[in-house]
Amino acid sequence: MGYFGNIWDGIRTTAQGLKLTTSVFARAVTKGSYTLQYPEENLPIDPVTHRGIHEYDVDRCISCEACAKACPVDCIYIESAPDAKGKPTKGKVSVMTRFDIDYSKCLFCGLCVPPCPSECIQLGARYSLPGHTRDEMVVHFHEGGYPVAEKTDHAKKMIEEFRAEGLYAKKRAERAALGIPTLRPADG
Amino acid sequence: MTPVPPEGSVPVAASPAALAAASAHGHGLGAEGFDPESGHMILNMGPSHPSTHGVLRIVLEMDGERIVRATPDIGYLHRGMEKIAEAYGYNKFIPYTDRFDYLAPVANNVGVAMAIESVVGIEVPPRARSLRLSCAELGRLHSHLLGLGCFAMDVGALTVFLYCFRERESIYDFMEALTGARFTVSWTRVGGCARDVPPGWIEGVRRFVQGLPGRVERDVEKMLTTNRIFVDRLKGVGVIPKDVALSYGLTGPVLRASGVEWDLRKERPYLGYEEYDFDVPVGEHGDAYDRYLVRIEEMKQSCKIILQALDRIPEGPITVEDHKISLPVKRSVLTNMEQLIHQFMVVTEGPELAAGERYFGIENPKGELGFYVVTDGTGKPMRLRVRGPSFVTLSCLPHVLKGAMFADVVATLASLDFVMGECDR
Ligand code: SF4
Ligand code: SF4
Repeated sequence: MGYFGNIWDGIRTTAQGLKLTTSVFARAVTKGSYTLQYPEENLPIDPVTHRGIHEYDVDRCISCEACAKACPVDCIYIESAPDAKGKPTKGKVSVMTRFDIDYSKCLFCGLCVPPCPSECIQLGARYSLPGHTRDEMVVHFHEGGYPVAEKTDHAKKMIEEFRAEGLYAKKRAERAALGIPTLRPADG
Repeated sequence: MTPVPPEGSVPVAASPAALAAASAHGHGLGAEGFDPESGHMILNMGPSHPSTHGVLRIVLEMDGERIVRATPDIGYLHRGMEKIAEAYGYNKFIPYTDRFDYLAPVANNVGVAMAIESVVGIEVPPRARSLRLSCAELGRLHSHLLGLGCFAMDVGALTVFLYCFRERESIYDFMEALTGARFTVSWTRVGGCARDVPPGWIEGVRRFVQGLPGRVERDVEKMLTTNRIFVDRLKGVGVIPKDVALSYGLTGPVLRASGVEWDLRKERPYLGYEEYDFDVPVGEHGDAYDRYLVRIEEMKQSCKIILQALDRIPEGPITVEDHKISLPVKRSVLTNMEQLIHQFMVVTEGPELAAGERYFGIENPKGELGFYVVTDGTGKPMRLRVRGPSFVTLSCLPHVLKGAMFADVVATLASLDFVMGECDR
């Protein structure tokens, strides 16, 4: 390629590239841009499938620790109140005194969800947990104030049963006796 | 004439032999220095340099603009993955594999699950197989799109990077719909997959994949393939001849660009790749430009494979029925004591795999990602060795960079398309 051929080639390829850039720019100007103004605007999230901050139900939890054992980073901390013999309560009678998840470690992998026999732990749609210290990354689920896990049919059925048997009120009273505040959403 | 040390440089009292010894140990070459004896300058590139794609450090011994010796220094991202696998067991290791080649997490998931399954010969159901194959290929697109984008950006063409990211965004969306997470997908399990595809997913992927080759042609190839600046910048840069590529054990697009037709999908087919119609693109010269062309063509072939795979995803379960390996369906756990016990065992002890050992490699976007798994009958592997393609690719840096110009380091690194998460593990 001669000297002028080279120059022509340079101009041609530059023009080709600029044509694409301008066309996309024009599209963005006329049809709106691809970006959002986060945090004022948010992308829609599928509340059923999204793997965000957990949803949990402290009253249905039977303190079996299956979720903690399935966790690849050991970030679930579970304790339940001792029974008359001094052993931690397990099963339907268990009173949770601690259910903490350390979100500075959690991978949102979802491995803790399928093992739960009472389907009371799930990954939810929330993803924002800002804080200044590491302690603020630990969420105390036993104190409530977070959405109740109720995505599956079985969970819904269990909630009905628990309500009918008055177990929610009973457990809430038991925890209150231990000095744990319960910030549950209405009725649940 | 004795060369004059540049102002502000620290004289290094070491002779070339001492330098070589220090490089062999990977340290001792702290800051920029100057060797008065040879007149060579020691230049530190990385670990936080935009073109080293993560945390690679290269100690360069420069004679003016020419590189006399290049010593890669790796390990800044070492997290002890192999030991984690031994400590945590099979299923719990899968989220960690997302963090190997974090540009194609789903492909790593597929690789590790298949390697573990291959030890005891678990056959996943056909639906899981097809889905895994489609996702592994989506992973390849995912990785190559970023590879090309960064490649172009490193040699000065930012626009392509943004177009590539637009396409990647769609793949993120598909991953989010499928797994619930955009990036760290953790999708496979030993004996199957975590979630089945949501309604409309297959059609969505098909539409995306049908249009992708056209968009790549329009937005990437038109901008780069015949671009004078790009071609002149890359032709003959970072040449890896065929014999060198083979002797270093390179794999993946880097090896194929050097003219060796070696693709595990053809040579040792897994997931039923032998039933699909696709070509393996091979380069000629083994230079950076050939690696670019090979990746472009591989993306088109991946699209072809995905289209074929989507057409033949059978109905059926996505995990094996053996509940000593995979978690039983929740319904049966809640009504059946035996299943509940199985579930408990799988969760607390891990899947029950007979003792055995096996090496299994898949063709990951960056090359052969292999796992050597030794099982001992418990829920945890006795040993799980990972063969990361990026680690092997980077091992040839001293050879490739020797005698090159300094500015070509960036182009060469970008064309090798490595990822430090997998190299350091
Ligand atoms: S999502 Fe994963 S990392 Fe987080 S608590 Fe559950 S099992 Fe642990
Ligand atoms: S698996 Fe479910 S019931 Fe068992 S401790 Fe965890 S949340 Fe509670």
